[in-house]
Amino acid sequence: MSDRKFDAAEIRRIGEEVCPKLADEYEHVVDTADSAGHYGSAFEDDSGAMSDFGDLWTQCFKLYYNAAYETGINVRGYGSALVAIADQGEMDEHAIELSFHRAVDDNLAEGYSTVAEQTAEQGVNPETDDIYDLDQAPNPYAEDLSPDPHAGPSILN
Amino acid sequence: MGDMDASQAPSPGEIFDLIEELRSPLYAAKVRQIASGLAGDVVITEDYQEIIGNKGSSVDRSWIFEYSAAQYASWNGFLHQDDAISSPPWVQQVYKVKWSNYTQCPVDEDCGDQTQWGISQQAQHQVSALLTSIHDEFKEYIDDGNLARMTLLQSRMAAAKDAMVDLVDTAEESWYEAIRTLSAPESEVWKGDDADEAHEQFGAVIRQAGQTQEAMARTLETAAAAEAATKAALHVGLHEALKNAHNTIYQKTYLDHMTTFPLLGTVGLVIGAITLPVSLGTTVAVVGFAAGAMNYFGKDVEIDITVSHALNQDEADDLVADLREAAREINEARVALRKQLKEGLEAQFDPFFYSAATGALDLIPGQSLGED
Repeated sequence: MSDRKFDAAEIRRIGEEVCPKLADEYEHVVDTADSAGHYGSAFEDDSGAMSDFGDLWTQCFKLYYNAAYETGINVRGYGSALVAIADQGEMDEHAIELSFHRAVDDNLAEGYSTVAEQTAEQGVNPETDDIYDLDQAPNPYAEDLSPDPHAGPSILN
Repeated sequence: MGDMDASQAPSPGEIFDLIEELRSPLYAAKVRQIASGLAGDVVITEDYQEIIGNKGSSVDRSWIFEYSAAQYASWNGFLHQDDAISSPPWVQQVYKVKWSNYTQCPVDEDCGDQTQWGISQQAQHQVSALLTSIHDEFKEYIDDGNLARMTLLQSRMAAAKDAMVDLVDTAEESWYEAIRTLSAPESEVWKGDDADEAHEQFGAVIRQAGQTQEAMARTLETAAAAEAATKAALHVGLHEALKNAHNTIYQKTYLDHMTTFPLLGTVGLVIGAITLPVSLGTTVAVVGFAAGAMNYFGKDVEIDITVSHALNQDEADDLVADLREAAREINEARVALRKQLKEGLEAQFDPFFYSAATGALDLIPGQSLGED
């Protein structure tokens, strides 16, 4: 293990200072995407059926949303994992067999408490809503639509 | 070329209002058409042959019925085909009509009250049916997608794209590189199996994930703007077709109450980063719609449609049929353009995104979006 290097302070710095900032940026990105997602029904016709184009756009949008959402969670989880690795390394300099997997596993729970907060903000119940299901993106688009202010009056009796 | 954003495109309400405003002129055309039909032909006798035409042929008297109440009053009930031959006894005899308050148009002098009322009722029913047919046709196209919501979606998506761009710009300044170099093979601070695994799952991919997400956001915003521009063009086209129909009625009849509508000519629909040039026929008797080239993902998208139908005020049915035909062709142009938008989006949104978009999928327990 002559090539083993372990600078706990630097690993901790990335985990505590860099990753959380990037994760915060991702939360903002997810919020803005969520705001757009509320108008996903724009491509529906009067009966609620989606055009082929609208259907494709919506699928692509959900993919984007979920990608940004999960990346934000991943970044935060990675930061926590780095901190745990640094902690462990400082406690026992010889415990270099500590696996990255172990550190990640230990910190996933932390990462997912953040998920719960996020989903709560977005009005999603993680117990019942599968946030990773591409067909059921976290945004409850259809229900929250305000009436169309430009809709024409029905002119014929 | 004037520019127009989505908020200036005619709303469904404005379009349906113009349809409803056809009721009055269509009714005027219908009662005259029916009254004219009931009046019967005037057959030319030998005595008047030289003045009017060939013996035995019919005289088209439909022009009589085009006149308004004011014009009728100024002629004291006698309408002359031509000033040069005014007032010979046969003219008065042949063309004698009276004003009907039931129909609000001239009718034959021997047309009774009950008949006049019947003409009015029949015309009202027929006009209602015609307006319903236009309304339903237009509504079908307008209800396919919601322009107001599309423009909101487009602007929100633009904001979401900006946020994603900002994230990548900020991260590029140091974060991406700090994360990458921490676990990179040449790292001086962390080396070992755990570092290699961290690099494979995260350190080496997080930048690519951000760049991929930025590309996704840009593509989504462009596509949303293009579809909104296409929908706005549909609204503009339908609105112009109706204005053309109104202008044609104005030009080809003597109805007092009609006014002309200014036509747009050519406009550029500017929505987000998309400009869709739309040129519209300005010939009064022609309902035309043509959209020029739209640059979409670097590809020129073009539709070009001209609908040429002479609108004839003598026959309200023809006018309505022409209007509906114009609407159909405008909508077909929109549908064709949207198909191209879909193909462009498909080409841009590569399945590659699925595997490259999120970074370390393995960190998410039990989940994978990729095709592994």
